[in-house]
Amino acid sequence: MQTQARRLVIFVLFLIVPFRPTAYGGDDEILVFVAASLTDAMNEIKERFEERAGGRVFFSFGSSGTLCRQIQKGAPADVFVSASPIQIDALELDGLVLLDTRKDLLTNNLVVIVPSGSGLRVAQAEDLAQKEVVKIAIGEPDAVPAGAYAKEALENLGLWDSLHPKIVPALDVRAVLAYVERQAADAGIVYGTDATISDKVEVVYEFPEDSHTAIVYPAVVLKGSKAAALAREFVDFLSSAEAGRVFEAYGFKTTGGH
Amino acid sequence: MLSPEEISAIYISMKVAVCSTLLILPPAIFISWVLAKSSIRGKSFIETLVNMPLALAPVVSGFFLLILISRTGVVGRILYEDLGIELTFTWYAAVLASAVIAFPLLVRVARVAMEEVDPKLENAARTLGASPWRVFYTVTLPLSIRGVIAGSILAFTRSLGEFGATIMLAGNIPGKTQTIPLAVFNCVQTGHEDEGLRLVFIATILAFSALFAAQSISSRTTH
Repeated sequence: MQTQARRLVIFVLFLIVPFRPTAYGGDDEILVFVAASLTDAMNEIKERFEERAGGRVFFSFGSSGTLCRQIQKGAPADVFVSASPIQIDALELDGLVLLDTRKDLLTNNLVVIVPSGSGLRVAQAEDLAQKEVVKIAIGEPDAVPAGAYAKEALENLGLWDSLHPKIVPALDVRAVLAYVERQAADAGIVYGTDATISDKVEVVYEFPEDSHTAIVYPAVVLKGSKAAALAREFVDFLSSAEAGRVFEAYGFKTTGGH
Repeated sequence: MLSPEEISAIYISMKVAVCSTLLILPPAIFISWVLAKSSIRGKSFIETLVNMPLALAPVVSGFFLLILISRTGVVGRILYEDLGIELTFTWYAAVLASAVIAFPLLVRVARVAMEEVDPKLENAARTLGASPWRVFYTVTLPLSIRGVIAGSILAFTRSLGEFGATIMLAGNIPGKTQTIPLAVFNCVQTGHEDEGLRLVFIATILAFSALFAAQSISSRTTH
């Protein structure tokens, strides 16, 4: 019965898919899931890597949360570079990460931005409570890493409950920037590197490092990889000094040797 | 003027939209005919099922498809283990995602066109001894062909603009599955607004032309 059902599914799928697609599968090709904020730096690093290694690298860009869910549902990724350790922790719990391949590549800081020339001063986090600040945009804390850190920092500073009514959760970091650029929000909380994307916002405050868990961007090789050797080589290259210089050129801070 | 990545995104968009429209055409015509002409029971159930992708967020439809056809999914496991085929994160997956999202649009337009075909003509063909299949392809289909074409163009346009289901099922891989909407998403995420606007402009022209064509074809049917 079960084999008959299987045959039927195979038959139907052959009707739908007229020719056999080329699955990822060669050991000279890897698919790397990358947090979208790293796009530019990763493209440059990919070129350098392909010059020396004998394989090709493909990227799929998305938000770290989406990429994580896709991996949990069986997406054929070889390497995952996340904007936050939360996703990597979850994948490790699910047993989807190849042991001893995790490397923390980058760090970041958490800052408060305001529209350029708004004149708003935030000398300390408590200043966000002033009545001139009506709306504060942050990434949706459950889905956007920067939003999760923002919430954590405000909680640790004892401000979350009082500021909560002012918080506007946004789809992603770009949305936070857009709200602040267009003054739809009076302030926003993003990573330091995100703030440099836009010249219509200015950084007025940096959260102290001890107000939130250290912000790191980890990379791992995934268990399902059919090109684990090349995948390991790529993760090693990501943590090399050469790749570090590329990341730094795009405004990221490297963890400095792992 | 356009970068290789942009040209590739345009090419992939066109390829995916054409293939997904061709893929859904036969089943959509069949379902439209069933809904318009047959007297089977449970038609409203079929119709509801067909329309589900319209009601669900595309990301949700994409997630369902991912659960179904990834290597750990019910259908995907059979493909992967028995045939060594993995559809997810290939352009086939982009075609499948677009097809599911565009399917109800084609059915809605084609069904109405088929309902408007005068049953007397079909009955005349039948009394002259034509088989149901012959009635369909010599009477019903030719008389509703404008609706089918207009519906196909609508489905094509919807495929061109597909984002949510595609990024879930096919990922956002430049050169492989990155269509225009996905490329725009990346441009916005990385602050490359000029490139993004260029692609938005191209997408707008493509969509406008296709929708205008659909509009002209369907307005001709009523006159």
